[in-house]
Amino acid sequence: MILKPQVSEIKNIGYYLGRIILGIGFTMFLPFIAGLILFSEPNPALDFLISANIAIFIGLALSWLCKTDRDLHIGPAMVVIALSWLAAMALSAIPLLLSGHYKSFLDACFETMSGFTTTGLTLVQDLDHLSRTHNLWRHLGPFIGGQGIAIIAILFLVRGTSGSFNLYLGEARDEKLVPNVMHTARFIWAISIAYLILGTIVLGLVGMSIGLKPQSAFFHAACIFMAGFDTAGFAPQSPNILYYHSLMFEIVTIFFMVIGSFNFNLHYQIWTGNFKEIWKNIETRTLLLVIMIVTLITMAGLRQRGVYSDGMILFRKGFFQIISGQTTTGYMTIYAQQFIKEWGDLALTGIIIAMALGGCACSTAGGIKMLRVGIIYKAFRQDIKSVLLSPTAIVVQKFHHIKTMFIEDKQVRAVLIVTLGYFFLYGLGTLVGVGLGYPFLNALFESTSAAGNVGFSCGITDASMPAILKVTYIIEMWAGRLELMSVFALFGFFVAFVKGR
Amino acid sequence: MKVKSAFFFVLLCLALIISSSSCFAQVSTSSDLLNNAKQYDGKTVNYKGEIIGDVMIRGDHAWLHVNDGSIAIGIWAPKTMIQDIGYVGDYHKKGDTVEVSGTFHRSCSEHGGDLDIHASEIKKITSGSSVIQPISRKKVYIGTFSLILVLLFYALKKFFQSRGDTSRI
Amino acid sequence: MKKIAIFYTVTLGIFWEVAYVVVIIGVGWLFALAIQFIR
Repeated sequence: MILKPQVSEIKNIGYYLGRIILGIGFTMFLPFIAGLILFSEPNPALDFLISANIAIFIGLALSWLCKTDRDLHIGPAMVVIALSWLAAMALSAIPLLLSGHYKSFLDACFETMSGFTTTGLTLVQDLDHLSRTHNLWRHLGPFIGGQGIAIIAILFLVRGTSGSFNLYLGEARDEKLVPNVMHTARFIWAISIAYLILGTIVLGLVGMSIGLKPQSAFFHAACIFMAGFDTAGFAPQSPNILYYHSLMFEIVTIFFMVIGSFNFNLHYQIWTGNFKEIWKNIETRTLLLVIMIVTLITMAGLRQRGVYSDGMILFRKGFFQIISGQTTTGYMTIYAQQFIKEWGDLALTGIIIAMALGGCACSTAGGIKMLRVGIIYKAFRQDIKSVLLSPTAIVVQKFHHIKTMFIEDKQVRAVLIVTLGYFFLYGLGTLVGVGLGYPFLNALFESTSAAGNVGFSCGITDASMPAILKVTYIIEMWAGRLELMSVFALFGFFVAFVKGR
Repeated sequence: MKVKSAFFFVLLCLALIISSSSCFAQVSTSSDLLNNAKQYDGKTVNYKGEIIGDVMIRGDHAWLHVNDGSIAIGIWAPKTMIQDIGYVGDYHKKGDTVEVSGTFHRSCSEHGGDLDIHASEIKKITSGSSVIQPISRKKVYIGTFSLILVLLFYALKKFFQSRGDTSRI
Repeated sequence: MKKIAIFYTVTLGIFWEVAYVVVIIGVGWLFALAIQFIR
């Protein structure tokens, strides 16, 4: 028997949702100040003032109306998360719409959802004439969403640790770095800020060495870092990373993409002295192995087609795209159409596999995640062993993730369910794409890119694509980032609301 | 004899007229170049568009990007060719419209496989300009008004919450 | 004293993360070179 949600439960959700919306409103003051003071772009800055006020008003109103001291349990927390990502998408789209660089509100929502989920698929028009203020917001989205929208609320606006913890869980972060979730949230931000400073300086210096003027170099550096470390894939100019025509720039970007795809827990271990973890961890090992396999497949495909002539080019065009896809960043040193026109099916299959599998868990990367891939592999091994050995033998399989653990059925089940969920998402988007007339491989590529939060486009993502496909990709990006669970919780909540007694 | 020289003279004139007007005859669009990259690879092309972004000087050459409304293609040109560039497009400015003539590369071996054009000539078609953006009065009003509303609302909320502390929830 | 220790550990940590990426880049570079000679 489904129980209809009580008013108090709805109020509970409304309150926390309101606090998060409030947080989003405050973050919009960053581009407002930057636009006014740094960039001398008053009109764009005003767009953010207006939008911030709208968000703050809604946030205040919601948290006032739904004021409650009730703590947030895991179910409602997931509903809050799912809803707050939708709210963030819509509210953050307002300033972008006001910029005049988006053909519709839907397009602007697509952009912000793409940003927060660190996907990187873009529908912006005339990017090369977009104001720095608006461009900064495009790149801040991944930085905020990558670390976690709820984390902002946890840090500043929400009281009560169990509610905070449930919000943290709902955002697909099921690893506690330290027992206290507040400290975990703080660490995640500390490491992001530390790398932001380091990354901006390094990229800025590289930028100046390749011919960018200092102000431009550091603006590009901050943007590229935020979208790179947060494995998003937005860039300030339309040619994406190809704009820089620089091996050095590409290599530094590779560093930030890979490091950005690490599990935050891994960062925590290494930054607190447990250096061995980087070689022992199941995710880093799986990532290395998967990269090798994917590189083999993709490069064989490229060679087969004769697309790229020498080693350096295979590295800068082939390997760069492979790493970009594997870490689910989506930075490109080729034009979107070149994927379909030049790469050929085998190489594209390699990239699709990379995108589908993704980066590490509890990071800004998307996809099925290396932890799951590793566990599935180990579970396979365990099952094969038990088939081959005597029926009375007990086969145990270990894996190392911070601690050494045994593979347990319950765990494998959870892993497989989420993995199947991702395949369902990839398939759903492909189905819609094919149904609308796009070729199969193109549709599969784009769908995997959306649900895996990658950001590679083979040319489908365009302002002229059908609205239903835009909505499909938005749902895929959203569900992919939240690893489906929160989205299902929201769906379940509505079903309970309608059908419950 | 006279007819012959007259004939050659007319031919010469025609040749001059044709060559000067077709100096930059066939302009390829970026989609054209991308979709037929293999056919254009290594050939001389003419490409027209607006200069955007940054002009990146590297030694005695420079990178610039020309956007024809669809995509921006990287142009590798000797420093001498970029002296006349006045405006480079961004939020504040519309860049110079130029016509570039040069060798197209689908995957340039000199530049790590980049798709580019090595310019042999850059001709300025129209000069760019500063795009003056006056501060939008409407936005200032809405911005200030909404800010005041929010502050008022916050004050109101605080007032009611402190007053009805126990009775509210 | 404690601050220096933290700074030192963090720097070493970054070093190890960078080292991992160097390995990845090395793998990619090797594959790119090797694949030229196959076929």
